[in-house]
Amino acid sequence: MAQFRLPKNSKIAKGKVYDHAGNSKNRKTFKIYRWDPDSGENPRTDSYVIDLDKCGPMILDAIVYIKNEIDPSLTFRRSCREGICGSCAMNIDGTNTLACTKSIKSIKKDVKIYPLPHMQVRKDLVPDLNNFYEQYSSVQPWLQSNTPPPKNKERLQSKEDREKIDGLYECILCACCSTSCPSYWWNSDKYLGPATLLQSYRWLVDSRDEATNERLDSLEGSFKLFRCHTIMNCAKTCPKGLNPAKAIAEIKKMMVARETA
Amino acid sequence: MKIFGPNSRLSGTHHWWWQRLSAISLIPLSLWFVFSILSQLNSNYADVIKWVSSAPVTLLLILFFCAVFYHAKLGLEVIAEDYIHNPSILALSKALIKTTVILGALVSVIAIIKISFFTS
Repeated sequence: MAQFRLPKNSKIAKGKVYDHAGNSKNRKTFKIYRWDPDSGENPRTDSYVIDLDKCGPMILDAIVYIKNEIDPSLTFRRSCREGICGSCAMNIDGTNTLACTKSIKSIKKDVKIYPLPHMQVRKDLVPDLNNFYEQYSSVQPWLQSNTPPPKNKERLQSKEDREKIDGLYECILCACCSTSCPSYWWNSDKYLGPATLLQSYRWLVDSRDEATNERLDSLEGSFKLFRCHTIMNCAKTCPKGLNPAKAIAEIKKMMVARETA
Repeated sequence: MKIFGPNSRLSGTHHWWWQRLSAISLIPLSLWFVFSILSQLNSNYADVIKWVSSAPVTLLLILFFCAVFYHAKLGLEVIAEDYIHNPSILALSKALIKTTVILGALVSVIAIIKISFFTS
């Protein structure tokens, strides 16, 4: 059965408080999930009070500041700091988003930061994304065509055909959508999840790809695609403003259309 | 139209499509059912028997109950697949769901036919 309560060793305790803001009037408290697999202790939330005049405007600036100035053991992923690599995806103020594009100002109260929900935690804010990447590779996310490409030329596409992959190619695979989906929480071993399905649709509508039938075949069955119950958390949380739920609905329509045609 | 026959390769699509079709058919059918029952509130026993016995009503009642139980079967199966992760308990649950809805549908249809054709 699905587990509705946290197991004993996952219960979150109150952690330490680090007040690093001095006499500053521009104080902000960051409550951050901490868990170290080597310590054998339960996870906890540590509170860091910082002076916002000393750090940049984004959540990522704040946690980099905390790591540099207060607690070097704080562990998280980050790379591009401009919303294009997807590394710093985490649960901030109750919503999965990218720490680098979420401004501190947009949160009125204390800032609560947790790792992406319902994933195995490696350490602190770092989730295990192995299964997520395996699912992505399972949809064979590359161009498949039996037609040889024109000599010394690229495979061309009309403007209209190119527009069909707008809203799809922008996906950076940050996993915010998949880890916000209850269906993915309960069945992430069998359901591919919104991110992977949006990527699959990106190739299904590509006019140059000729593996449409094989791709649809591989999504058949009650789990890989049809566990989507149109909950729409994916579209709500996507930090790039994409709509994976719509892409999934389009795949379902393609599945029915090819059987009723 | 392969989708209209049982075909395990199409299990997902088939299931999803028929859940939509049964849901859409239930919109007019259930509205009709609720309003019809309400309109029978002041009728006596003989009037209700007479109402059920008219051919269109008998047909609509049978359609309504078949759609209800079929839609319930599809919906309950989805819930079971969502939450039950042990394969043998899942198979058992699905068998129970199937038996229950078939029994329910059979009892309803037999009752309607009995009232419609064998009660005066």
